Amino acid sequence: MKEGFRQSMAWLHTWSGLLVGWVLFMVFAAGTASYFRTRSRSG
Amino acid sequence: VRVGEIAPDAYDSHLQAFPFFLFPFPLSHEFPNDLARRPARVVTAGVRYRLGVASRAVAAIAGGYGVAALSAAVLALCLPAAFGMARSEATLTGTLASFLVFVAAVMWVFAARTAVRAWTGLAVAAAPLGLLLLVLLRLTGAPA
Repeated sequence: MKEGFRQSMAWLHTWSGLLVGWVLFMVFAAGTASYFRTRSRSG
Repeated sequence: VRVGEIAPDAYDSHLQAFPFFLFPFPLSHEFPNDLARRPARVVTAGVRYRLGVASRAVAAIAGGYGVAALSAAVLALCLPAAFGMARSEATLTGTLASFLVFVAAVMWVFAARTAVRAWTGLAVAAAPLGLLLLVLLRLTGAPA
């Protein structure tokens, strides 16, 4: 991938971290949204 | 451009008003033939790099999953036969070990020199596992 094993793993750490991080963010945001309930009209 | 010299783009200056957004092929008097004579599209270094990364991503996610699943199945069948481990414990051990196998496969895929080499390494790992799985399924009498 890059010059050397360590550089390859640094690249992998960056991009897999970004990808998995955003996937987790979507999971948590969707889970939070599923608990959200709008206030009813009568209060 | 000095006098008497042909400007670099003079030869296609007649295409300036051509409506490319309506019809993207510049019509000349030898219309389809001049398109067929065009040189093949050059795959630039950047495109090659991105294709390599995409190939490695597929190899890491799908191929790594395949190798990990194979290793889990082989260990679940192998450990009871080899060490007399309980089948439930062997299944759990194989599943836990397969997570390490997946991570190792991903690391291999992105450490290999080329994408083809990465795929080859996965195949080399998967072939004996698959053969062993077939043999074990036959030996243990499980439905193959």
